[in-house]
Amino acid sequence: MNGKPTSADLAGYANEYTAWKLLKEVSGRIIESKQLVVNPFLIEMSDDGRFVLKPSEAQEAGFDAPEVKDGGRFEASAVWSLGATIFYIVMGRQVMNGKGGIGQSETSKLPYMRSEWPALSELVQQCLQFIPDRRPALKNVYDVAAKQYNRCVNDIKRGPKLKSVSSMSNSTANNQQDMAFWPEAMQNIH
Amino acid sequence: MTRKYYSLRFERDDTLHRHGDQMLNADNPLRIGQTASCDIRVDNPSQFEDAILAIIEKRSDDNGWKLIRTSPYKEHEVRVNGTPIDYVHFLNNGDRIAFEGQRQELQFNIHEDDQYKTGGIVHIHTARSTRILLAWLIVLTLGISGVVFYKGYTRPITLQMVEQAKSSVFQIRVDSIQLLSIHDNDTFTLSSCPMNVTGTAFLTSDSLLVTARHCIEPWLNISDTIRLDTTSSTLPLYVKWALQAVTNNVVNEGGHARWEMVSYCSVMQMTPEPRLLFSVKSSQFIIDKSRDLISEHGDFNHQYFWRSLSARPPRVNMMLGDIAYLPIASAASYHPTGGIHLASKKVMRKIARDNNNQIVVLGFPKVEVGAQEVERTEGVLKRTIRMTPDGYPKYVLSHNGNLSPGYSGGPVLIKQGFHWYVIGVISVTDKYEKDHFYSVPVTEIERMEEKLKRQKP
Repeated sequence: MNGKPTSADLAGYANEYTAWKLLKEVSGRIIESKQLVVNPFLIEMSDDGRFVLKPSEAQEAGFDAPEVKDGGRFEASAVWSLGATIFYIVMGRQVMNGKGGIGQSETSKLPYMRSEWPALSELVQQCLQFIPDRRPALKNVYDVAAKQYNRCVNDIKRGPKLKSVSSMSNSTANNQQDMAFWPEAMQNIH
Repeated sequence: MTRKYYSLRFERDDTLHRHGDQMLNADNPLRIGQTASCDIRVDNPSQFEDAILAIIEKRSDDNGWKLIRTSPYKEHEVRVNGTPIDYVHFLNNGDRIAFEGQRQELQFNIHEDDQYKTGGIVHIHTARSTRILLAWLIVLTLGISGVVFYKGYTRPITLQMVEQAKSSVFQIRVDSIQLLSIHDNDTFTLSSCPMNVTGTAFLTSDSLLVTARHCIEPWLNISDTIRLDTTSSTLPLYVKWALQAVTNNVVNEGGHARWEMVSYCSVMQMTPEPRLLFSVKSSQFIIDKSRDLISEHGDFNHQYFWRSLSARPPRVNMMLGDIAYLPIASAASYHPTGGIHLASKKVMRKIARDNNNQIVVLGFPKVEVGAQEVERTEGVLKRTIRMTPDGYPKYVLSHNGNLSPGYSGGPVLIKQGFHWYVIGVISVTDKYEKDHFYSVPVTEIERMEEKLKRQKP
């Protein structure tokens, strides 16, 4: 019998909508439960499509913040883990060459995921700051995620992108394509 | 050596697969969707862009395979055994995978044997012996008859076809032009002058006399739009009248006399001797003036309004208005061979799809005096015919051919299948490029007829 999939099973294939949904629901859960251990293997997908953070202390080093190795784990550490989780499900690999916080120093370059998702990529970058005080507060992460998730929901309601306009269009908005197709000047045959 | 792998079996026929076809795979991510990069491609009959719908990948715990839904849109829903999946589903033996808007279903099965050896994604096409035998018999039968069919189908336009068409091609002459004032039911001639403009016209099998609009409205022959510094002294008389007519009608709208330009034309058979077939007026022709551009030039003291076939940006349907047609009673007496067949929307679509481009143009290039044979010249369409959503050619037809003045209004012929059709009416030449011409697609007539039907009470 198969077990339930976790968000780790999305590795490399999460779209923007899924990433914001996970971020919103899991950060909200952390605020409620105060659970500070977060990694993609602890986030299950319920039958009604929600992301649920399993209560657990099972750690994954690749998703632990830098300060955890020195015994500290607080809200900012959970923010770091959230950032690392999103990075993993979107990019399909762990941050800091798979080493997580252990592999990070103050001068480490912060990874940027995808230029087509700037808000998500910037938030994840901030979450992965080496110094805990520089990371956004958990409440801020939740607020941003909730807003962006709603935007994605509205975008999805509008439906996928339409096929590009080509020879089947009569639209006068297709000027550039028409001009390129028909550059010649004309004169009458008297 | 046995190994664990899975198969995906196509449960239905579609345009890309047959019922019973299979894909075998083990370790490779397998993309299912509408894009060219997908390992399993499904149709995309929707209006939406192609998308990757799902990926099957090995589970990280090595305990089987998972199906990942890649697009969040409802239109790209993925179902396993009828239940939509949100993100990821661990696949079980016998699972049936389906996609929104698709008939096709895939059956997922897990195997452990020595049949899968390569390690890559393997396609297996079903082959049942009776089906193959029947297919070969059909192919053989069709092949023999196909050779015979092909020879007739692909033969280019024959001399016989051209000779048949020639008997329906005539010269059209503008003998005089008048400026008329029309008020209630009274018509007065304000001005008139003789003309000597010739072009070509042809009779169709539907008893229509077809020509280019500028052949019967020669005041449109000024190709450059009048500019602010244009003075009346530089314009031909009949062009000034045309300007005055439009200006009068725009400035004095409502309750006043309407001014109109009319040309009187002769339709001539030119062999064995020039012979008048019948006379027509330009106002009798059906013309679509909706593309006409009226633009204002000049100042308060010297106002000009110019009505023309100028291209308006964007140049979407440039010059498509340069066609005119007239139903002719007793047309059979003028073309004993039955006339030329106009290409319909459907035929035009086939021509565009088949990339058919060999053409023959018929016309009466200008000669000084006397009898004249219909001349023919051959060419090729220079651009694929592009269609609008309602199935009409979007632009004028672009082609070459050794054309000269007098060919205007002449038919552009093409052979499609076993039949030949007129697809265009010669309109204009390219200003800068030699041997480059443009014709109005004859489907404009079909479009105008549809418009007229809709306007009837």
